[in-house]
Amino acid sequence: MLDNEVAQFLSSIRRSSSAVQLYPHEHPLVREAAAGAVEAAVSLTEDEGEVVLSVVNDAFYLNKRLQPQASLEHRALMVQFQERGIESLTLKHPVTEADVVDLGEFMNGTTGDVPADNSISLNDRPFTEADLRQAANLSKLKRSYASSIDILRGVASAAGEKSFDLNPAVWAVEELLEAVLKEPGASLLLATLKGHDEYTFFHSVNTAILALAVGRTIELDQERLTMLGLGALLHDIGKVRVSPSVIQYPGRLTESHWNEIKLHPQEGAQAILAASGTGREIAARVAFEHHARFDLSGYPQVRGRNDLHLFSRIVSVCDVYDAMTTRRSYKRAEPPTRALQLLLNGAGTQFDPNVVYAFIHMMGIYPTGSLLQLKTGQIVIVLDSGEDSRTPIAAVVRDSRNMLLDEYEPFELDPYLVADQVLPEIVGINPAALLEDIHLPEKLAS
Amino acid sequence: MDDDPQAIASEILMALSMAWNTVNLYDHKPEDQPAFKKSLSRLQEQATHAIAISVGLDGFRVDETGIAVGHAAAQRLAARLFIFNVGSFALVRPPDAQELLRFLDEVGRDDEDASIDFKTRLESADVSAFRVKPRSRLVDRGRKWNKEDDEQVERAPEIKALLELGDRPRLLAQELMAFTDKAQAAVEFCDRYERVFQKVADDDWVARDRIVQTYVEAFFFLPEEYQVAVIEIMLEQKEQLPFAMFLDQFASYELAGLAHHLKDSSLTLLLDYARVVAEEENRTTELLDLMRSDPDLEGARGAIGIRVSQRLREVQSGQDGIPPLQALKSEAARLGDGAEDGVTVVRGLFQVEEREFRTRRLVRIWSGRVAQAVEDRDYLTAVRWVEQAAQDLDAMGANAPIVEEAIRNIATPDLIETLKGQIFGTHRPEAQVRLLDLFGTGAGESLVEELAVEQDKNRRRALIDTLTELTRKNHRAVTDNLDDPRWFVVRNLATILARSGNREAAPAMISLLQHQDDRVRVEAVRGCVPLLGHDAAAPYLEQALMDQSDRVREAAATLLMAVRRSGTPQAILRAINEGPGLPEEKARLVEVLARDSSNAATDALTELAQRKVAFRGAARIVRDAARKALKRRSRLAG
Repeated sequence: MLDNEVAQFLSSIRRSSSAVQLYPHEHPLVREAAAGAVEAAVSLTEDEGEVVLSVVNDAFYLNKRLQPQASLEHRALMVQFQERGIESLTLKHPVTEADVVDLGEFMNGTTGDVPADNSISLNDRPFTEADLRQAANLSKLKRSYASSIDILRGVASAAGEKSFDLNPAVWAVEELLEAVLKEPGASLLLATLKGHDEYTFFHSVNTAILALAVGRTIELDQERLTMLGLGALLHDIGKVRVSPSVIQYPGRLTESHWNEIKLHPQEGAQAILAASGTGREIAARVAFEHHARFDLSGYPQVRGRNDLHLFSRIVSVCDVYDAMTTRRSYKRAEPPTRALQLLLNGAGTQFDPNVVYAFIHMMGIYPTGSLLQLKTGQIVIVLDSGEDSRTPIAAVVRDSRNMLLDEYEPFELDPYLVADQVLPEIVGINPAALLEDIHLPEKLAS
Repeated sequence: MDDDPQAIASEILMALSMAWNTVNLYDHKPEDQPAFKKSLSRLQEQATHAIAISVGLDGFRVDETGIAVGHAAAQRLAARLFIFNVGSFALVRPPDAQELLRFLDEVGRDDEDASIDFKTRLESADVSAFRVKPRSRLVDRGRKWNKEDDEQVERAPEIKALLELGDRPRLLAQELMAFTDKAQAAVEFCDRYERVFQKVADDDWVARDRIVQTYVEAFFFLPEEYQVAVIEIMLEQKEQLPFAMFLDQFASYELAGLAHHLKDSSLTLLLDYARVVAEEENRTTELLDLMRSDPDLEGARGAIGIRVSQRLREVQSGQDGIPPLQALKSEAARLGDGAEDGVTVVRGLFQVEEREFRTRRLVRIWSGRVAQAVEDRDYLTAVRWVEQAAQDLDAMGANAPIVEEAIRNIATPDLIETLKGQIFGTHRPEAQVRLLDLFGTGAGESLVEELAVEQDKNRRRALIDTLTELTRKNHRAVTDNLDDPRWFVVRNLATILARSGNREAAPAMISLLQHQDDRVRVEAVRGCVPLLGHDAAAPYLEQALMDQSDRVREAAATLLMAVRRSGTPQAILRAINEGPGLPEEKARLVEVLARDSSNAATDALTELAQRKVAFRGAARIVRDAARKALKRRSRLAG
């Protein structure tokens, strides 16, 4: 779970850096954020006394160990490190609040002063970049995922003000597609990753992976799969033109907020049209139609519309599934199977029943990455959903005494043993983070 | 400086909205943005007035007068402040950049601290340039009911009565138990509760709490089977505030106790509710734990996968008996080349876009696509883009004139030139012609002008072909130019109209029969037949026999050999007797009669043949021709 602890440390560093940009050092919010970072640093350093967190080759490493989850979840912070020339942080126990504050100011460029207490030192790594490169690299799958996030960030920043180049998004989809075709199971497991700081980007990449998997199930050719993936990846791009305070509003939206949100399909479609060349307009259509329900009662309402494009109907299902299974500031997450049940409830009205069927056929009743509580009290993660009526394959992640396990042994899951579904946040397990640690069944990995 | 409080408030709000917008747009160092600096300086200028600005959900007011702020962020700003229970605020001293940033950060905060009183939060954030006054609210959820406060509230009579009747819960339950059907009673209970709840103002927490408590108490007066029926309805609507508040009143063990009696779907909903509750602040996992530890509920908890499987099997039968995957694969195989997707989106966008500046941007995107397609010589695509925009103008509402204007504007001389250039040398320039047609009369005019000056015969033919094609669908391209002073231009247009066969152009063709130039009139005579049809054209041809121009008369006579009606022989006879022309020409008219086998024609010929005439002269030539015709006719009959 070291990866998880690194991710938490990076989250707290980011919070602290933001707080220090807005408030004076003695402000309670700055103190609170710094204390959080110190606490996270303690859990990293208390055993060894000193650890080195490096950024190399677009990945975070703790000492010489690759941190795949942190590398994906904290892409924005990694970019910030790179922009400020930070190649490594050496954390010495005990890390002080003052150094955390100094680091925050250095990171956001408020000052050029490095941490003074020397409990955090910058670019003071006792090993070379080559050592890290030799140790391990981010898997191709995660690299594809990460580069998609980066590309979306670039697209979003351009789409907010001017037109953007669609080619990088196409390349990102091509990489994701390769991953989905080569490692379908691992891709679906990775699609459970949730990035709360950059929700829309993570959600868009997940939606693209899910849509590509559905496209593969219905045997679309490579070219059409790419266009389906492009539409899915960019379906929410119009949200960059909606005020962030409205997008992230934690409560029930007012009518005017809601009206603003409802503009994102048309904003997205217009931005993509402005950017796309001939043959890529399907992405604009998907962005425009992804909230139009199967019974055509969604938004935006277009007179004379008879049907929705197949890709829009696929993306609509994948979009809602990923959104439902993600915890947001204003709503809880649904466990995967419950989300499937809700999709089924909407089949024929909100969703195309054929697409819902194809989606569940592809995902299985217990989708890959689901966490289930068994009647024995154990908590298992589903590794292979049992597509095509195969028996699901799962591995125990917490035993009946509530102990987290380090080694995972896949076994065939009897669905009648399932007592309940549990949410990752409650169990404290991030399914996507287990990707490196779990040996996926061969039929999935190949 | 203007001392009008409304103007000052407007200035402050404008500056705040701009600053807030900038902060939302720029994550990194928004204070370095020119817009932010400008806002800050405007706020600093206005700080001396300390005007109290009231906050409403929909905007700001000063002295009960609404303040118009020309910035979209102003309304969002008002909504945020309203949510934070800010009644009014005033700018009491000039803020510096950091203080303004801190103020805006508090306005934009969405985390858990947002629940703390906004005034306190500003104090904690060391913001003193803005002084806020909370909106007076009668009572917060945790506070005791204050009778003094409560008396100031205006309430619906039904709510007042409910608050005053102490034994209402028991009565309510008794009324509901009069329903023998528990499901009906439960529906009535929930309907009444929701109706009453909705009548209470959002911030009248006193009444709201009392109503919820009254109904919860009434619930416990109901027999268990009625309670189960009520809870099942409540769970179905648990996302709605009245029902969520109702469920929140129960102790975990009370709900867990009812769980055994719930139907499967309600039990699932109760589990969901338990999960939500487990995640909420200041709530416990007690209900979830109780439900998880209850062995009787085990089956129901795990059964969701089974239920999904069952429902999936129902869906599997597919629509119209076609299995879903097969249906999707067939649909995927039928997908087109995607050429329609862009135009479908544009058409939709033109319909739904209500902001003129966005529509104008869309127009630019659209016209760029059309121009690009023309440049790439992809005329079919260009036609699609224009056609889709032109098709649904009725559905475009306020955007229709903008789109019409755009279609006119896109037909720039350069674009028309490019298209015209494409017409020459293209075997069948249908797409180009369609495009010119869509561009409307402007394109027609340009082609007409080109035709007027073109010397090359082949190019003239291409232009006439193009204009003919255009006129088939829309004659305006040609008929709008019939008043051209150049006779040869008008003659060509008459030829084009005739070739087009567009009967809507007939009145224009008839009008050309009166054209001052006989060369035009000749074409008009010829054009009457294809545009009017034989029967309708005949009177005009007969009339043309009396024209002063021999060319016109000749054209009419030639046509009357094939086009005639019952009155035609009489009309020809009249032309022979009274009309202008040399004897040879009139003899030719006799020939026309001779080709007509009708009795009326024979009568006319007989009349001419029996005429007494001088030895020489025109009349004799006519008579001889008539006799000759009759002889020939008689020989043929024999």
